[in-house]
Amino acid sequence: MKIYLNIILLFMVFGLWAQETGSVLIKNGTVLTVTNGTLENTDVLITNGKIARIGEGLSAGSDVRVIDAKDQFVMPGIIDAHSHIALDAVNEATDPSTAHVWVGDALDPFDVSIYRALAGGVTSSHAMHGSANAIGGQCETIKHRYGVMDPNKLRMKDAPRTIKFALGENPMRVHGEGRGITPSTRMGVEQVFRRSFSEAQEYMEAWDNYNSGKTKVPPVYDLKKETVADILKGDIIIHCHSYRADEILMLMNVCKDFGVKRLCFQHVNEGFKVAPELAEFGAGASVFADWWAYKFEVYYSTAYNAAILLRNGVVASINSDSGELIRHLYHEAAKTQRYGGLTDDEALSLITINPAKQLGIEDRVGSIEVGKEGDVAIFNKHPLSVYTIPQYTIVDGIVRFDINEDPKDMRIDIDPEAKISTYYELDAGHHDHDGCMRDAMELFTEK
Amino acid sequence: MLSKLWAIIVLIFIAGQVESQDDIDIKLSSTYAIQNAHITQSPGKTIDKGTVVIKDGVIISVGTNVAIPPEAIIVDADSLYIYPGFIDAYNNTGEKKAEEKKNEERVKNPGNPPNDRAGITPDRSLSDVYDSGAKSISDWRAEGFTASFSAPAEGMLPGKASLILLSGKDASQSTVVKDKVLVGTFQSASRMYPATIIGVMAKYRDLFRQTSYAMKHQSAYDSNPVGMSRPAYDKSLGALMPAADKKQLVFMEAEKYKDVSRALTLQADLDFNMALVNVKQGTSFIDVIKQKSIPVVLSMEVPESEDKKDKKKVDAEKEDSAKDDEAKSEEDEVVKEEIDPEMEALKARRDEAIKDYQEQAAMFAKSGVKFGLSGKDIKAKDLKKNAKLMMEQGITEDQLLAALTVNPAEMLGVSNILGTVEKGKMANLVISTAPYFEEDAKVKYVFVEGEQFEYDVEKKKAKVAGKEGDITGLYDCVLEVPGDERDMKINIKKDGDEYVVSVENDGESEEVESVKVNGNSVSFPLSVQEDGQSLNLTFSLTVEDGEISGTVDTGVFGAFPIKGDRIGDPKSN
Amino acid sequence: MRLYINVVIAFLCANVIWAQQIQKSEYGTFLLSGGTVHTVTNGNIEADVLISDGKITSIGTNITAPSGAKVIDVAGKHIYPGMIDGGTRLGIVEIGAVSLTNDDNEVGDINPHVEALTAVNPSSVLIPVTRVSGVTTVLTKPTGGVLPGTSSLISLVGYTPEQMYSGFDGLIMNFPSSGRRGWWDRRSDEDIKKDFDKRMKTVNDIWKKAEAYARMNAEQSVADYNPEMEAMKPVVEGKRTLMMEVNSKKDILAALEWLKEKKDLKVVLTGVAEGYRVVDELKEAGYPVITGPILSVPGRAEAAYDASYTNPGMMQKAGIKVAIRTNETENVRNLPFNAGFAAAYGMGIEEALKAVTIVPAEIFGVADQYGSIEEGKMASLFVSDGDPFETKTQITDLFINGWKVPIESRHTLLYDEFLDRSPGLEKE
Repeated sequence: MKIYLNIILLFMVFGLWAQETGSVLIKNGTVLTVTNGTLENTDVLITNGKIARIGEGLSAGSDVRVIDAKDQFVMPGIIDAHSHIALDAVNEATDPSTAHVWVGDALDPFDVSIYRALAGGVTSSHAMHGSANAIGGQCETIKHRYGVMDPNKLRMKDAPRTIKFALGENPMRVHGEGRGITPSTRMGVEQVFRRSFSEAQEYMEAWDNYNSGKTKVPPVYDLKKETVADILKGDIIIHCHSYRADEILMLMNVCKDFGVKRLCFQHVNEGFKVAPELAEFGAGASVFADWWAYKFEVYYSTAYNAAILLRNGVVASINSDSGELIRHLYHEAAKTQRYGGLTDDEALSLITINPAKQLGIEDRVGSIEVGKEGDVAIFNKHPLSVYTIPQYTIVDGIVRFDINEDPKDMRIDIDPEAKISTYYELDAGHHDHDGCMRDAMELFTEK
Repeated sequence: MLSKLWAIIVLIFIAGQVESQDDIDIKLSSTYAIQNAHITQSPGKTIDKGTVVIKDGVIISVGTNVAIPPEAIIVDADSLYIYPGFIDAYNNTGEKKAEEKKNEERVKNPGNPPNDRAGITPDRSLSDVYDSGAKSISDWRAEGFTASFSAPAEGMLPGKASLILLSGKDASQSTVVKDKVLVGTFQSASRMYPATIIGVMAKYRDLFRQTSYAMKHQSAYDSNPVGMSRPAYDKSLGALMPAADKKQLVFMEAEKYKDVSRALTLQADLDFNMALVNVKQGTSFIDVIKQKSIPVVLSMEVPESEDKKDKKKVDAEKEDSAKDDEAKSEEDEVVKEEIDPEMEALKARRDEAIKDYQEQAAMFAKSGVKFGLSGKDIKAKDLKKNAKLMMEQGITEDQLLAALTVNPAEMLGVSNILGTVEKGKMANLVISTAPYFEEDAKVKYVFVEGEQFEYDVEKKKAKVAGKEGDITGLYDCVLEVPGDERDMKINIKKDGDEYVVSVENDGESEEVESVKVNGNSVSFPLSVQEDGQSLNLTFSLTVEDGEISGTVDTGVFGAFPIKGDRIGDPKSN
Repeated sequence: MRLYINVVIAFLCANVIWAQQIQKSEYGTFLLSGGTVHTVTNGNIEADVLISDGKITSIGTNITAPSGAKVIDVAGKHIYPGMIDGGTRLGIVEIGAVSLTNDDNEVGDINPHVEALTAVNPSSVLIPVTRVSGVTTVLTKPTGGVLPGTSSLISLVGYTPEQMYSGFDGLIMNFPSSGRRGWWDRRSDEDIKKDFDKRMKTVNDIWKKAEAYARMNAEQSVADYNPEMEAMKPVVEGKRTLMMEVNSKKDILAALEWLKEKKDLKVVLTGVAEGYRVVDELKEAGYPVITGPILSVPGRAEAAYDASYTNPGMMQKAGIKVAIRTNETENVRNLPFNAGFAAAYGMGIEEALKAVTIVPAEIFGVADQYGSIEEGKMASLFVSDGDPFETKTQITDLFINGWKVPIESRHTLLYDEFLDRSPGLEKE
């Protein structure tokens, strides 16, 4: 299939889109390393997708593109620990536990939201299953290599496996209210975990017995239990949709009982109430900058959540959970300066190194350090200023967004049967708060 | 006064479809000599004026100088063109129309529904759902198809495909190879697991792995059952065993780019022998397909540029300068968009995308990948139109012919009996009045395993346009109801100032009341009674350039499109 | 013993209430001394601002504080007029997902007579959260259907809707849309067209009726009691503003076409997300526009990624009168950030500031009271340590209609309580 002319032009002029790594030299920028302070008038050289050198007066081969970042700000590519872009399906809402499904099977490299995220400096995101089920599906950490066709090329190879859990209203609504089965309360939600974990323990034991020859009959293979067993083994990080303090404590208790240590809470609007407990457990918290009051369980919220969490020693991040917010996470992070007075480095850490830690990829991305992957965003003003405008976004050394070469129509795959152009009304005043529930409610809205 | 047409419409909804009975043929012999034809034995291999002799369903000789057995029925095929009967490499031809699922009980546990409710029926065979009288069989045969690789439809694992002959005989007689391949799709179930693509992918993994372990269990039990629980029989897993064991090919339906990608992912994960079928957007995968020698069946469905259609319309309008501005504002949107550069750019992009689909077959052919063709998503009568679109992008007639004959025969392991016009092969032939892909060519005869089918090649009555602004005339119309088409004639005449409309079907004519005419629009109601059930139809039609088109609204069942040509002046009575 | 328990409970409750209770607002005479005044209408000046009896009574250097005046030292700080959000559901929706707390959407398509002001909850927890960001005045509006009701301009201080009411009502009309409502909208193109036609017919029918009603009742009331018509009458007579929500290019053009036949109406176009595609037509028509949210996804897949950011600037530069709204409920506080994005993407800071102050005040016909810092206007203003659009900036003092409102909300109170929680991890 051909990519449209505009994109082909881009492709010819600036490095090969279809490739996965490239080289680029960024000159004379103000480099916000996040982990190592701010370096004025500094060059960053990315070679074959990796940050090769950081310093002054760097040079590169004549075939390497040079970006003049004088008076501009160079920061690590932004990482969104919670999104649902680039996915053809979000919720397999048919059961309170769907550990067996994996949104990595539904990647959509043609989603123009990826480009819009790039245009906001976001280079990686955590493409998550939705929150319809207590145990949702497995998620996928992706790189925003917009322009590749092959869904597999969106994957951030070898990133740790993650899975979505969900507490509170959403699973209660879908399964309890919608279908009249457990869970219809937060008590019931707890039991979904305890039952699944216990069954997975039995399952592992059954396989141990078979593999060691104790039993001759192989247990019935069950992908759901396989997956939960991998959680118990520590091979999968739990990312749990949560709001209220009580349910957050509950899941930490369940995890303690089963020896599960890799845990990050998502949204976690009342995380501020249990910040000391989260810090003690070592659980991450990935929060909204200011979303609240759209449902009852977020009524007792505060936009100071991130600041309180961070100051209490919790690894906190700011996420989008939305195709809109993902376009300006730098601004979302900046709100922590109004709500809690975080320093620039603290605020930037919420969208770089901290989400990287929560996804287990902090040794590869999340800061500007030699040896890390060449994911960089360049802004014309300090990225925490409301007036800043992203100029370039580089993924693995390839410029994927360049404000000077933006053909506007960035669709890759065009449906030959669809109308030439379709306008989508913004749902007046109602944000996409239920992006997390995509594909879920229509299952149970009969009558 | 109830014409058959209405009865049929009513019955489609009330009692399922009624089949009309075929006429009884008196057969003199099963030997035929088809003489003096231009024969294409296989793509590129032709005989200019030759004869094909067939006997008892087998070709016994082909050539310019062959002996004609005395019992042969002579078919004079002077100036006709003989080709090997076409093979549809993947379709649901012959499948019984799915009955309306009546108030199926709600699944108790949507997270773990019974397999057959969730679209997991790999144990199904075409013969389980076969209907010898299915319209799909006669429709495809009429275009020259003599065999079809056919499977049940619906669900992620709808069943197994069998090679059937399109003779319209019962399942046991028309099946050549039963349950040859397993069919897989990415269709999700409704309101139960797997309800999404992620569910479908997970379910494949579960099923294939469960099948592998079930086989292990079975073989352990077979070698020594003592002290071991007996393997439970599961018909789904049982049906998957040959595929999981790499002994049976899996036809993965993979239409769009991402479907192909997902099929390749599954194949790599689960290690089965796979063919990609009904592919529409597969050009980017040619290299992978070549490298892995994956058999491919491309879809015969190709989109057509709306723009071209619009242009025709606009051109016609331009010529027609007599039309007043009032009428033009009807088309306002189309005209406006024509001159809007933003819209032009968007249209150009869509046309680009359309071209990608249209040139898929040519790209595969150019790269030397052999492929079959699937008619699954098109109507048989659209075959030639679509073939033309493909040929405009550079696929040759021979390449197209190969995709309809030798390629599928080879892919399905039946090239010893199907795919060419050669001695010893099954007598499957299509005989046309001109080279098959030429626009005017009509299929005159089709032989399916030696059985002759003859077609009327009389030209349809040409369109006879009426006078400007005059909507009267006799219109030959086709009504499209789900999965079917019905012919009827509509007569519009003028009696003084009044319009009189009658609708005719099967020789029965019925005059309608309360005709409303507004410019070139006509609408009228028609009430139909059957078995105490009544159906109120509303016709809304527009006449333009000798064509009539519009809808027939049935109320509860929705509206169906109807269109037709003006074939003459109105009949007076 | 029992007594003891009661005392404990009372104490606990008191504690909880204390933790959530917001200080009272103060009224009186205040002198803001030594700040930079961003008047919006008369440039930026270094001056003192005197507030008394709810009004800005004096602006100048070295104003002497009247006796009894509270002097607030704002040296080095900035004084801005309170921001006005031209479209919200603040006060009538509390918790989006809890339907019984939503008073914005009455049953049916035609409800011109229902009034947002009736349902404004002065004690909404959302109100303090909003005003501490410097947003002092908002239009709150009903939603849903073709004519959802009548909106009202309210100031974010007071204990009754009447106290909050700030002098403007506008009839909301959701002009029929030809677009899709979202990714979940699975209607066929034909159905969309049908729905559009149906709604268009509804609009035209009701409008004709309203015109007839107005004509019949021009002198004296002769028609039967009809609250819907009564609410429409001032609108068709051009006495009350018609606020037409319209977003896609096609719909904007259709609305302008529809308006061509209507004479002497007071019209404001709202939404106008694709205004940038029809600036010439909008300019020619001359209606003011209230656009937003600016922080929103473009309505078309092929639109430029920044189309929503650049839209207000493109319209304003073409000479269209543009105000900015959030169309929000709980996050109306993001109005300054919406303005900030508009500023960065072409509008400029000065014009963006006007778009959330004097321009909406003019559109609502209350520019004599609100929208700038001028003597004689209502004292709705705030003091900040910098540019209020910048996220870093802190709002330090807030006045609404002369009331000095504490910088406190649920969000600040929870921060105060939980930043350093006690008890912490231990139980003591």
